[in-house]
Amino acid sequence: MATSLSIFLAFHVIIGVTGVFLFGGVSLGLLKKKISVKMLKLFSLGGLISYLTAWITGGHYYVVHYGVKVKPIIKAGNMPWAHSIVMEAKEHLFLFLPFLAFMSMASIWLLKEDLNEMPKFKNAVMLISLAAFIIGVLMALGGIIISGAATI
Amino acid sequence: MLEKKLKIIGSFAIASFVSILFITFATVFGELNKPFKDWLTIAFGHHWAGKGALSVIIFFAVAGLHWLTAIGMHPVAIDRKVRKLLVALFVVTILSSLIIIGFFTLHFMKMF
Amino acid sequence: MTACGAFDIIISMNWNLFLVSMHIIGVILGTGGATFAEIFYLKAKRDGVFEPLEVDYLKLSYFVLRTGLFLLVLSGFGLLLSLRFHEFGAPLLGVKLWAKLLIVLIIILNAFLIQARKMPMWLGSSLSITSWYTATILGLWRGIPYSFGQIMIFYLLSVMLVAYILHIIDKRILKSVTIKK
Repeated sequence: MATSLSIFLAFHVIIGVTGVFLFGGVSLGLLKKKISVKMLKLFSLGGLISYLTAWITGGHYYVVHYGVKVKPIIKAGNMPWAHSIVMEAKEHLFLFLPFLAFMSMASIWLLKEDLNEMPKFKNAVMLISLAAFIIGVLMALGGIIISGAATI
Repeated sequence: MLEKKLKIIGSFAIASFVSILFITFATVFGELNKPFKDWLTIAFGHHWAGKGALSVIIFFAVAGLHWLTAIGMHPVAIDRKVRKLLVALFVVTILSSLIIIGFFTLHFMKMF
Repeated sequence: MTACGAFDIIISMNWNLFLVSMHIIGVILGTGGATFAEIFYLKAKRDGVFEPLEVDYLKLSYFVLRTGLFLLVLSGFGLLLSLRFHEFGAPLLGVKLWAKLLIVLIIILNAFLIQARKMPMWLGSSLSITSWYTATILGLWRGIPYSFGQIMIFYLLSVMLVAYILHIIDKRILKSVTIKK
């Protein structure tokens, strides 16, 4: 793999995991009775930027390298399902993330302290952030399986 | 002021809902209908990039349309309505995820 | 220092040593944080009242624990990337890694449920401390001879045992506080 592609892949993984953590933090933060608006604003914006960056870097790696070089190796190997199920699901579920991340961020940035007065609404925003976190976790786990299948 | 903010959130929520439904539809339809997938590849360079680009276009189009056309409501009613939209978005995300994972699993097992 | 000079330093760094160090520091902070969170919680529970200073110590322990979790997960993925780049995929699909990943997910889920007040503390405490120590032991153990199922059964039995031990400690502390009164 060319150095530039390795950098794209490394960036995709590290920034993606950071995004997952940030939305985990947002979900956890929204469960508190009295929210920390500063922390939630920072985490949700950071999470959105992380997911968008992971989208771009991962997308570049996927379009330029994965389809041409990695996919045939996996499909010809012992774990063809790693591409046909895991990668196919991952590449499409990944498209959900920017919308969920944006919704979480927009809700927090627009409503700020008002969320404290609207506990049911706060829980709804928490659910969106939790969805962004759960899908992020699935992306990370899927990535491990795919990398394993490509190199065994 | 609060109702304006809730209206914006509501517009984004509906737009996200429609975008996620579109992505799910395009994913399944693309696998079952080769001309559609080929069209995405020709128009956008890659079918995946095409789904992404179209979902973003749909997002902004629906958000803009909804924001322009949404009727004014009492703040309490908007709060409840937008909250339900967010919960519906969460539910559609989970269901769409299960549909996509389930579809590719069955597709791999040659059931579709 | 020029931009090229800085780039050369980054390229020539011993990334593996850096990542392993970061991972170990994460484990120390996480397992240590979980241990002290449990100790401070039991101490604060003695008189049934959580004083502001006791709450502060608990919050600090949780902060250290979460910092540790972030460092170890980030460095862990860095190490997995390193394996990927060296075309060494077997550990990525190994029992040890997936057992650790599942346990980390349990730690996170447990944290959510405790925060949402849906997890009884007798179970939440045990899950937290047992998970951290199990993940640490799995990380240290070279050549684990057990299957994924066996590791999980041992883990679940440990959770129950630790819950019982914490219950005994709790009762003894309550007894000693009652006698002093």
